[in-house]
Amino acid sequence: MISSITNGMKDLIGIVTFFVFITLFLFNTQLLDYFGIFIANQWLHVNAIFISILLEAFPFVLLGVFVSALIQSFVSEDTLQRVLPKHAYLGLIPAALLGAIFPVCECAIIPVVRRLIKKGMPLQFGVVLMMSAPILNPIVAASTYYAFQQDLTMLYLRMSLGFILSIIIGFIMFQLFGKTNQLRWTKEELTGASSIQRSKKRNKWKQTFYHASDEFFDMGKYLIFGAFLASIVNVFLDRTMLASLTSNEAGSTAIMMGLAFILSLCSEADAFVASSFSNQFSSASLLAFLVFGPMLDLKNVLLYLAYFKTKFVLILTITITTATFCSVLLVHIFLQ
Amino acid sequence: MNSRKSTVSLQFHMFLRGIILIGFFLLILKFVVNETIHLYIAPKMLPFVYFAGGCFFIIGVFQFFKSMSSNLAEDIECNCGVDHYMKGSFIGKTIIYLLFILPIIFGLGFPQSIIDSSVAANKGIQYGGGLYNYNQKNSATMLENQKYSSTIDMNEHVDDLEEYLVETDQQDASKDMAEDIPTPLPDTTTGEYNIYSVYDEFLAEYSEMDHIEVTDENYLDVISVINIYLDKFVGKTLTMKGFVYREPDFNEQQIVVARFAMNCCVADASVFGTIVESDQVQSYETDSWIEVTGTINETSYKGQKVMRLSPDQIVKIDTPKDPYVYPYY
Repeated sequence: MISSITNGMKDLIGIVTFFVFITLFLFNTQLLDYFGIFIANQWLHVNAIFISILLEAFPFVLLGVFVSALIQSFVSEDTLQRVLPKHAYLGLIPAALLGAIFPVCECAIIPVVRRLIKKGMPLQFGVVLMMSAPILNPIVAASTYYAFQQDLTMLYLRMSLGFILSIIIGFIMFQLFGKTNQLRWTKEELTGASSIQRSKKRNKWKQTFYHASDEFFDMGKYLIFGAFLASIVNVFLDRTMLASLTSNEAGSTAIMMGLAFILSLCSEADAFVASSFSNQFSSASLLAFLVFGPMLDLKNVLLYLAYFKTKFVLILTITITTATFCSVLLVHIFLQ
Repeated sequence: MNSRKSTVSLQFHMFLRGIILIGFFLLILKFVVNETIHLYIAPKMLPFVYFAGGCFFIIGVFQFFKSMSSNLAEDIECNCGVDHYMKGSFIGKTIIYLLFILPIIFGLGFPQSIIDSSVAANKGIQYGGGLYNYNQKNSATMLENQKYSSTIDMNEHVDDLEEYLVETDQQDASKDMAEDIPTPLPDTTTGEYNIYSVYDEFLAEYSEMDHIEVTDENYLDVISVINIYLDKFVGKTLTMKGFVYREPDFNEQQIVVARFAMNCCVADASVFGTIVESDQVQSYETDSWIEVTGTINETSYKGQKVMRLSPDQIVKIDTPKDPYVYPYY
């Protein structure tokens, strides 16, 4: 009796939600006017940027989620084991180069890597792939080329530093975590994993759809939250005053890294933003922006948290930050 | 877990998720139908957005109908590591679903805004169309074939670190060669100015005209080429559109006619502006859209030599349907 009432309530929630969507779809802003709601201009800007980031990220998230679901349904553990490099350290280099082939940015690579790790890929290869794919990628290279046409050293530095750093970070994470499992496993998954029951033959394409949808909801919440915070920063942060905060190289590198973190731009577009700072910041700190942002930003960290254990994400964050900071300062010394 | 109960709960989640996915589809559909999608996404990203819209629709409908089926739990039971059963408290679940529902409601229900001078002030205006090293930098506009070859080029570099270094050396060498090209930048401490060939074509094209009409398509090209070869353009007339912006240190005779250039989405838009100086500009409000026809002059702003327009005619115009310009590369 009680359960039938709650069921009725649940159906109602869904139907009301659907009705609200349809109403808003048909009647634009007349509803706001009708209720006399007024929203300050700046928050409308936040809203526009928020929706814009989501629209930009969704296709790539869906792409990553689909590839991940396809791997789940069609690539067996054995196949993966056969193609993976056997050597724990030497394998880092092909892993980084593999990132260069995938023309995807950070939103798409994370679900794919998670799936590959789950299928038995060693952790350190996954880390390298996650670090290198968003930087060493033809589309990113092209946009960096156009944004920094007058000084192509920036392109070369970004690519080579991304390559080296991804290997270094993979190496450090391997030293720290070895072969332990750092994925988030829920209780149900663990029990499911221990009982070796071969599921009966089902429609694999149907399965792919389920996986894709569930994974979208799994990681989508982090993406949406990250996009919202990033859009607030985008509207309210005065970038012109950033340069006046510090005068030394370490300080401006730190500021650009912080900016890359909170702006959470897609690596395919961040080069243009970086180049717009060139009159206020040194080349080395722009490089920090370009290398750090794709590997780690607000949106990213939340996505990592969706898939990896908190301690792992924390240490990964510290490793990426320290490695980028030190290497950029080294590059700065060499540039002079 | 009681299997019947879990099926019911699963059905509800599927039902709600199906509706949310269809909501995202409606969101994209609405922007496409009323042609406002370009306020959020640059044209080159549109195919991806269509793809997302299609996915949302298909998965949404799929889930919706599946949620009606009775043997759900059995059907999707698998060891794939994805959270098929949503865990957490009632409040936790509500917050998570709200996170998905709110962007749809915001997107569908709120008036669509075009970012304006308040955002421009925080982003900082680029004078002279330069993205990098002020005037030295192109606005990312290039001929398609050049883009293609360079992309291939770079892929090779990725594979070979040695080549980077060689290439960097060559860069340095060509920097020396480029030294004698006249540059409009007063302080040139860094940067290599060896990629002028693209602009030479634009220069050849535009320097022959006495009057230059700046359109949405050629905005970034024209602004860049004029600022690189400012000397060759002084005295010509020009017509351009933009919104009015005022720097805090401007006097009453100065305004900026500015445009936002969007690369992928609004978050990465940067602002490009041209200084307009005359005693008739005071009456134009910040953020209003104007079309200026005037003569090109030069001026310096914050130590940088930039183009200045002395207006012959200023017309107030409506906000264009497409307020942003996009680098075509």
